[in-house]
Amino acid sequence: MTAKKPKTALCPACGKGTLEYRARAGRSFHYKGFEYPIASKMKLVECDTCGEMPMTPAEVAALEGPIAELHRERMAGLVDDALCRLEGRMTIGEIERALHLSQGYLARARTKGEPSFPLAALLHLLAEHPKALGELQRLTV
Amino acid sequence: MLGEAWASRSEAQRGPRRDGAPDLCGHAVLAPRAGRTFRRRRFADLADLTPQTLSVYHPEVVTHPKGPLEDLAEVRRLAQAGRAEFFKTSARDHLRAKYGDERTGLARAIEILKVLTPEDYEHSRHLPNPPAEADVYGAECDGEQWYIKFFTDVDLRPPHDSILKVVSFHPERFTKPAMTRRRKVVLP
Repeated sequence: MTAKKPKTALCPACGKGTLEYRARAGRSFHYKGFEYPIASKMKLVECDTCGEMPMTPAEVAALEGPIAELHRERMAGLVDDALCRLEGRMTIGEIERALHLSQGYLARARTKGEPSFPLAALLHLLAEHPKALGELQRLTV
Repeated sequence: MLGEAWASRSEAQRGPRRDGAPDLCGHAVLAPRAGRTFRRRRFADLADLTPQTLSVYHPEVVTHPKGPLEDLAEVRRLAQAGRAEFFKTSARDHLRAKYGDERTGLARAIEILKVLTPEDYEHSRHLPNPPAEADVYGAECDGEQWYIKFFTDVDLRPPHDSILKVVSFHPERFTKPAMTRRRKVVLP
């Protein structure tokens, strides 16, 4: 059977736009609550009206793999930065106990682990407002 | 065309009008009748176009009891080869919400597609834009009742082979009678 070779197709998601396989700048990929830019040279099927992007598992892996590593480094960087600023005020062990984290969790999170954004944000806020450390210790008693 | 096929059938073949009776999805059925208005939309040629039912929730989407339209062996082959594309809003977003990230979600979805059986088939639907006939399957896996809708089409990516378009892969939105008899898919 000879397959037709369409360049465009109607978008089943919105029923109005046209799906086209193309590369362009300005697209983003949602990963764990953050929008990461998609390389402008990467060709993807995209609807020109609703922005729907149907993807194959291979395309998702090619996109999400590097983004996941970037996200992990970003979160680990946030944790590392906050812990550096908290040095001298509270030991890492005390912070782990205050946040009910297992021993060594933060040491791993700042290097090769994947800390969550809520944890990174909490540590960042504690570094910004060191007075909150006392309140945190009071809560754990 | 679907409309022509149904229009060519006699009243006896189409079966009696079933105003108010539930359709395959458990929705109330609106019997075809020329000139009937529905949600301010006129279906002047409703009798020709509507094979059996008209969903209350999706007036333009028609369900019909044709049996599976896609060959499950072909579906399995395409899924195995990675030749399946998942739409974002109706599939990948839900898989990500369930499994944490899209890679894990899609890998799980592919596993489920590969083990679908004819017993998991629920009905087929005529999608208006673009005109396509999609099969709807249901399966229970990882504590969710999955609503799976797909059809095969020509890929827009070169070399333009056939591809499985998974337009829906999400937890069931409404409780249906069919959910009680859905097969529990056990994956390794």
